[in-house]
Amino acid sequence: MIIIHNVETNEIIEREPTAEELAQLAIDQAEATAIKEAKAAKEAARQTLLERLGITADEAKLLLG
Amino acid sequence: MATTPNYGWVTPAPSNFVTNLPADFETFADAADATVKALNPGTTAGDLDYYTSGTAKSRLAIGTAGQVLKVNAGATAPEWGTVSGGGYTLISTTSLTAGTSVTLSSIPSTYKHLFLTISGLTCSGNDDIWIRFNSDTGSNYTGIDFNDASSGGAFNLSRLLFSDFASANADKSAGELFISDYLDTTQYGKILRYNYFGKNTAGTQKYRFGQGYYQGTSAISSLTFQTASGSVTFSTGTLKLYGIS
Repeated sequence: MIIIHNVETNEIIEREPTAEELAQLAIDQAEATAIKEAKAAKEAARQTLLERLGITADEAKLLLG
Repeated sequence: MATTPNYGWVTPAPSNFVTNLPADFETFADAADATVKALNPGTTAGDLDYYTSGTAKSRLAIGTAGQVLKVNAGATAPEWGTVSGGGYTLISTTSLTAGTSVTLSSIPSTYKHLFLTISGLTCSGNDDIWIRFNSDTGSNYTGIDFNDASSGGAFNLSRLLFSDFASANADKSAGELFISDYLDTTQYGKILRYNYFGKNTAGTQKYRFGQGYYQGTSAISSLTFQTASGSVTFSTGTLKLYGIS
């Protein structure tokens, strides 16, 4: 359900999303998934590097000041 | 007969042969009386008068309680007006107790900045919360953020990530969003600052704060808060929108 609050008139409308809004939601979700996957890949790369260096994340923070 | 230099009151000249002095005096006095009255147009206690030309005045009736004197829009005369409150003015209060998307529309264009607070928030499940302005789905949102685990963010997204740990945790979450110059129509004129604190479902305290900008070139007239999934709903919470003069 979508809620629209007109702050000028204080009218509140509750309605179901339109087909267009549902299509946009699918696009938004695909973008969000891509962002999370990129973040997870970055974190995985970071972990791999820490393991290669043989240090922990806290030790890395100490090194980087 | 002669006339006075400023207001033209008729008076016998030194060279005149006066035949009816009382009548001449009456003419002079009536003219002087009319001029003095015109220069003092007030009729009621509290009236002010102001010049409308070099030699004429008009009456400004007293204003209502609390009003102050200011110059009118045409910069031609004084008038009474209401003092601007300044500071933060509450525009709206919206309950976040249902739905997956809440839009604040018809935001007035009478302020300089906007400030939004979310308090007591819980959702039906774990989800991210995104923000969109003017239903703009273009790649116009940039947010760089820091949280308890890492830093991150992205440029040119189609919406702003406000929280990535909204949850059903009974220890409710809260956050703020500040939008500077929300009426600016230049590409990088609207700066965003936001923060969010709460607990995820596991009960871990988390925080997130960030800064960014909105590149849309229209003044912001609506704000949409939405859960990323489109299925997780708002359960509790209050959204307050303030205008800052």
